[in-house]
Amino acid sequence: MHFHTAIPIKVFRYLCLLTALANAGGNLGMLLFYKPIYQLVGAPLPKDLYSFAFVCGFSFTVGVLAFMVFLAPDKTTPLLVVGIVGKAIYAFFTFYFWNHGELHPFFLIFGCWDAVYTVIFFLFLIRLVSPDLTVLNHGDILDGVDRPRTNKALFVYFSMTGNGSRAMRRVREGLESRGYSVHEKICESNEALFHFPFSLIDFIRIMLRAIFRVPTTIKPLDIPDNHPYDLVVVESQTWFVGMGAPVEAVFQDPRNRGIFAGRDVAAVNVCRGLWQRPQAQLIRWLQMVGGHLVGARAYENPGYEPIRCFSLFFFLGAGAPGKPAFLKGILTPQHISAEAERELVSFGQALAERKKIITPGVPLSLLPHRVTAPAASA
Amino acid sequence: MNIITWFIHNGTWGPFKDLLDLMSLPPERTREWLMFLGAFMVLCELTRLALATVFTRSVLAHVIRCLLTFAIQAIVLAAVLVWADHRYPGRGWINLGYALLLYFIWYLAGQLVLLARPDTEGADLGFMTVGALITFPVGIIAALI
Repeated sequence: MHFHTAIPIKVFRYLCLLTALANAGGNLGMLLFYKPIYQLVGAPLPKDLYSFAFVCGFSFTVGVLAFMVFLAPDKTTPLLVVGIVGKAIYAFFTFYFWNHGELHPFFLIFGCWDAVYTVIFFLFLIRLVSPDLTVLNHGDILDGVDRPRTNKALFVYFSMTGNGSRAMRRVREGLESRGYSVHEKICESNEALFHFPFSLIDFIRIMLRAIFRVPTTIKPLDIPDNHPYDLVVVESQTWFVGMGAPVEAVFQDPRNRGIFAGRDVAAVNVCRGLWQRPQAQLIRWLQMVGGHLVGARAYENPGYEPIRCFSLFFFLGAGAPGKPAFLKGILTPQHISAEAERELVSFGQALAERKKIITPGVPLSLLPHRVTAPAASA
Repeated sequence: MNIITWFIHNGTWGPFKDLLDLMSLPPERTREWLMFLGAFMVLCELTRLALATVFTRSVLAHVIRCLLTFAIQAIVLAAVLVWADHRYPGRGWINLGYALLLYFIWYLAGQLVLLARPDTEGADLGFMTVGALITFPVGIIAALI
């Protein structure tokens, strides 16, 4: 699983407060006291007072923006984008004019400050976007919807090289060990292109289609909306930083939406190394079709880069693992590790044991496993 | 037509000419171009990682992310090495050293994100190596010619 310790959000918040004070307070101070400050540092007085005041005013505004981010970071994420652009432009122009000898070195302080804060704001933005994915990647299994459990799960996936099916076998093992029965529906593309091994031309076609997100269509899944499964698990592999086209085709067909709407759903992603975007794509599709997401897992193939990346290229080119033979000793496996497989078994077990959201106001008689009073003795 | 020509002729082209000159990696402006290219590598990597979980259905966002995986950085650096060797022959090998430094900055930028978000890919050394296979052979050929 992908989760490690990171800088707490409050550190970023207080860094925003720091630049808010610096920008707002500093520019107010600059407007009031620019003459003694410039004299002290030996900088020439501004030639164009209007532009000087304008820049101070704009910079003050960025301070206000940073303060708003400090107050409510999860609600003001777009303001961080504005802050990134503003500070990057300011830093760029500062260094540009300083390099041309048109700016006193004193102003480098502000350029450096804004360059550093461009990075800080960027890191904060990366931290704040899609926070629900962080919860899922922490390993949490969320409560399921309040509907009767049938202990039946549906798997929907496509596996071209066997990595995805290997992952799903382990999830199945976990579910079945906790009393679930599993029905699998493999996506079958209507196009003959998606097969392995493939030719170089086919590989290039798949690659270009994956990059430009050209959709495909699949044979009907023939799962009715009123199906008996209380859990739907979808797996996708990663094709050029995105989810595989046959799996995406499941969601692009409106006829399939009823399979997921109102049901507990879970996402499994496998890849060589770039798992984040395909996971996000799969999860957002599941949410878009009305699925109630309860868990997600993403696994990379084992091994160290760059040999892991090149092992994938050799595998795709040769059509089989361990080729060419003379490199067999250093090529890395093209499937998830044994540890990942064990974690997926645990994932399946956790999915089977997931709790239910209790809907307030629902009569006790409609809740399963209710505690009833013992029958009066005869 | 004259007014269009006049408009274009009087445009602010200085910075672009200056950028082209800077990208020839003049030895007397090393600090400048190193800062500029370093910032370029950092911003590319941070943009790539920022696009990881957003605009999931946008083709444009996906294409940009794919290009930022290695293509943009690798091709830009390769073009810079060729241009620099054309303008300042004999500095090809030194410039290759700087290109390696920029690749290291690229890697650091990706790894920095690991500090910010607990679930992130970080730098992708695999595709960076693919990028290096574009940049450095081109740079070596430019240095040899």
